[in-house]
Amino acid sequence: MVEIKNLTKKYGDKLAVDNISFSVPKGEILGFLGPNGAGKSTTMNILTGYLSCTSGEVKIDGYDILDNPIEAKKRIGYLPEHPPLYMDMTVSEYLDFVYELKGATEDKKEHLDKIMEAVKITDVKDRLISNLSKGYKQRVGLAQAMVGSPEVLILDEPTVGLDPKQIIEIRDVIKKLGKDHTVILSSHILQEVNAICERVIIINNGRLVASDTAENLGKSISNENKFQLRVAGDERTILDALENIAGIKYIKSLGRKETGSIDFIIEAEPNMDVRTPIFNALAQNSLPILAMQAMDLSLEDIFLEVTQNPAEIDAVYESVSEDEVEMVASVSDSAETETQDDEPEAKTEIAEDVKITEDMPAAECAETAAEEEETADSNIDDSAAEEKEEGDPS
Amino acid sequence: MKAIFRREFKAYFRSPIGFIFLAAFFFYASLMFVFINLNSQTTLMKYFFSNISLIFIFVIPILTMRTFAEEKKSKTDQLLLTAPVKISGIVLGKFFAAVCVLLIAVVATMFYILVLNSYGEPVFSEIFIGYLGLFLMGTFFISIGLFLSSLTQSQVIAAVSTLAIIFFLWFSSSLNFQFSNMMDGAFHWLGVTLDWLIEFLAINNRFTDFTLGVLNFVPVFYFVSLTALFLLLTVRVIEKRRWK
Repeated sequence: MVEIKNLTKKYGDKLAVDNISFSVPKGEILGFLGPNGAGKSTTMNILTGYLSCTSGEVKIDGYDILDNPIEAKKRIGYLPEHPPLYMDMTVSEYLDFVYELKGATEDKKEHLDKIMEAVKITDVKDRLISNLSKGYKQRVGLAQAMVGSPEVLILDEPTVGLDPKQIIEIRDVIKKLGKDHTVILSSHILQEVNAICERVIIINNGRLVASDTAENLGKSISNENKFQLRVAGDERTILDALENIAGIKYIKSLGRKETGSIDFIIEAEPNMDVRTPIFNALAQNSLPILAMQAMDLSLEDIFLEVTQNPAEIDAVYESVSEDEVEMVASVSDSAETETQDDEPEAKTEIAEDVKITEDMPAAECAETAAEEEETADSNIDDSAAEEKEEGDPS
Repeated sequence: MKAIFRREFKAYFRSPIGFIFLAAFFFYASLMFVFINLNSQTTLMKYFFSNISLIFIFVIPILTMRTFAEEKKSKTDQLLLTAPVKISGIVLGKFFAAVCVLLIAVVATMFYILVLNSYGEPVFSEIFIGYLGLFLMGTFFISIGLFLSSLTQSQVIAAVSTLAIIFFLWFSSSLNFQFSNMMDGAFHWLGVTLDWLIEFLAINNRFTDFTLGVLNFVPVFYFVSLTALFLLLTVRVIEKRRWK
């Protein structure tokens, strides 16, 4: 459905997209991952014909975007990074305009009503777009892409600016759309891609660094054997109790996060479930487990995996993960003072991180560090959202 | 093109811009009509036309400044340029929307002919040719405004540069043959060329024919072809943006 061959884009001397090739079959949902500035938006802008590539070719359903732009564009619905909304129009006026602009042939009222229902903007349809909140604007942008039922939907960070509940709703909408559309979706949030996409492409510095199904990608770097533990008691006693459990790769103490308890990161050997032995060992020593949580992988973890050389991975891994635990801890802590205490620590961790990844160019490091903070934030949102969905916070 | 035309036309009256344009135009036009025609009790609209075209210098930029500059700034151009429409369709849609607002302004002042008709005997053919000239010149200014708006993201820059260029075109006729007098000797050829260029660009020289009620092919062709040229340039600028 979508074919991209040797796509290259230069802005002056700067190489924004470097020889990317991939294709998306009909009905697939493809996730497009990468940190800010990796070339995601540029690639999407080229796919939709907004920008031209320096070399390479893009074909939508067999139509070249440069040679036959009208036919190709008819098949694309595009939600850019900033939703292209006219602030002086009401939602329904705007969708009317998009309908006419695209020369759609569906029954107008029915078609637009259906779309507004799907993204839940029916109740704001007579309001001026300038008065809508960011989440609503984002949804109007998504609605705009759906007008005319194009076969290919290209969505640039469709869930940015939405609250967790809305994120889940929009993901469901996209999933539904994926049944009879080809969807290309960019994101820097792994959970999102995991939840929606069948296949994932990771790009960095304009280059394609990984391409696989979400499942495989998850498996190859999966860390289901790594989790965070909070135990009430003295650090020494706890470590003694855990010492003799078979299958633990390492235990790392994170120190005190809550009065009278210690936090640990524990990683088990592959294919070993050490949770029960840990529970038993601690229970025997009357050391109550206050929390045990699997560690979510952020895009950065995967990203560093695929972009770093193997020797560095472990080191980077640890500090990134710690950073994340820090964030998780600050969320679960009810006392606000403690949250504040955590912050400087988090910062030093990031600084360390940057030191470790010395081999990367300086600018890139800074970017990665900034990105980490951001992603860690969204991870929290996400995990909170997912917990809500399951209805079982533990 | 139709969708863009309709959106643009409505947008003029959704914001105050369309109303400000019309109000400013009507105020000045009526003022001129009262002073030039009613006070001096003449049915000749010659001076009315040459005066009223002056207001175009100031109000046309209001009409054209936001056309492309705003789209670029608010990134709504991404919608237009990724929709299955030709760039020429986008440019023409915006052009005709502005031209329609202009047409409303120009046609509404035809009310003055009725006033003249009830007190005297105006020569209708002369007056209509004058109106045609006014309209053609307006569309030419609009095409300049569209072009300059497509070059920038800032409405202010678009408006000011449009004003400056129209202003120059308007007053350049009063510079007649200054350069060849000024530049003697080695640079005389340059002075002659500049004079020729200014003579060519001077809008007044083309417009005077219309105000006198003379319908010539040359000035009509002058305005229509230059309008087409600037619209073409606008299309090229927008096309080129993709390749930056």
